[in-house]
Amino acid sequence: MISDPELDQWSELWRSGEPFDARLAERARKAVWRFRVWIYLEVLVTVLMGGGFTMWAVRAHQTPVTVLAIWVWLSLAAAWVFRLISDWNDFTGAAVATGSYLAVLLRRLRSSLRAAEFGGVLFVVQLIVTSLWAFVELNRQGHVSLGDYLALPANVVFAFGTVAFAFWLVRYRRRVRWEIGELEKMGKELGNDAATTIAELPAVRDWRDACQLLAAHVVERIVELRKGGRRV
Amino acid sequence: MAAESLLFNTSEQTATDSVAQRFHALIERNGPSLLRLASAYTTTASDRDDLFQDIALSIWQALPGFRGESSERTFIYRVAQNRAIAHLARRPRRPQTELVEEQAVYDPRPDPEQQLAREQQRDRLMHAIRRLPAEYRRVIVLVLEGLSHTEVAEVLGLQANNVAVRVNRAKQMLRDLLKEGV
Repeated sequence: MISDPELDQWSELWRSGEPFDARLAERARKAVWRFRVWIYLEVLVTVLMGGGFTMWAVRAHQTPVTVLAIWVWLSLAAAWVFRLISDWNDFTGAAVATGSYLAVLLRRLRSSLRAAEFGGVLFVVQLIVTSLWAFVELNRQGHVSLGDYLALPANVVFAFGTVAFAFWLVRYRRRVRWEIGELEKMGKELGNDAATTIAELPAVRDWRDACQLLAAHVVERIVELRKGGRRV
Repeated sequence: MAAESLLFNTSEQTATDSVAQRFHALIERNGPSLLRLASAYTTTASDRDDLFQDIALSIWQALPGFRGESSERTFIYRVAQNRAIAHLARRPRRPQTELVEEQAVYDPRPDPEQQLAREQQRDRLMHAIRRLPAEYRRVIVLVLEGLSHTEVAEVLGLQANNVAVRVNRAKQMLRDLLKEGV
């Protein structure tokens, strides 16, 4: 322990600050609660959306609706992969050496950049597929010209949404690139501390890694539950 | 609030050391230390409180993976230091001499003059620590929290002799900064 009088004095001074405000502990507890609720909501939305479209497909017995339901599930799966790539390392990297943690953050940010680009492409593909599907369906029920179709309120909303999404994507990319630059600077500032290996950590570089980790995570949870213990 | 307690209670039913219970206990025990650590990496009270919350959330996220290979203290400080370093890197660079508002205001003990002098000394020390480069700041903060060199080495993933060298350099820098009046 500290045996240096100067350090002892500083240490005593350092620890003599204002008392810990219990509201901060409460705030942290609420943050955790919100985080958990958010996770449950994501699962709920997935089940409701996927389940809703599946139910519709089962009841309708029509090929286009079945195709749409499959498309919805594929989109949901893509969204989950995107989320896992973005967030997984938050769960795995926090308790490792700083060098590894920074390396993980950098890797995560670079993955996020790639995932955002993938998300942009997915959005465009989704927009085209959904629009074509809706146009074909409307024409099956009666003739609708392309002009009339594009002027539908839903399509106008989609157009604004697309512009907003494009703006967000540009800003997001800029922000992530800035963060990458700052973290690289910090890595250099820490010198050798940041040179630790990251081999000990699960890698999430692309969708295959994310799927593997998701599967491992699910299996781990099932084993935990079968043992009778629960993990949050 | 009912839904909140319901969510927490589900994890309390089974294992006595459930994540939720462990999390609350850890925050209760280490709250003051974590808040001081957050102060060393921030310049305003709101920023410090935000960082504290981020650290708490990171602890909760990392807790299921904590199997007791290291001590609880090592685990907590490692998560906190990592989060703080990431916070420092991601924030726009600001001058490090700003006052944390409530430090200058809060005065719960008697003898206001003596207390004020002590608060000023503490503020100067805090400002000096904030001006240290990150590689020294993270070492000295842990030493001031009472961690041994071995523990600091374990938290930061450094060699123990490397820690000793850094502590000496950090001390010298702090002395110089305190002499300058920060």
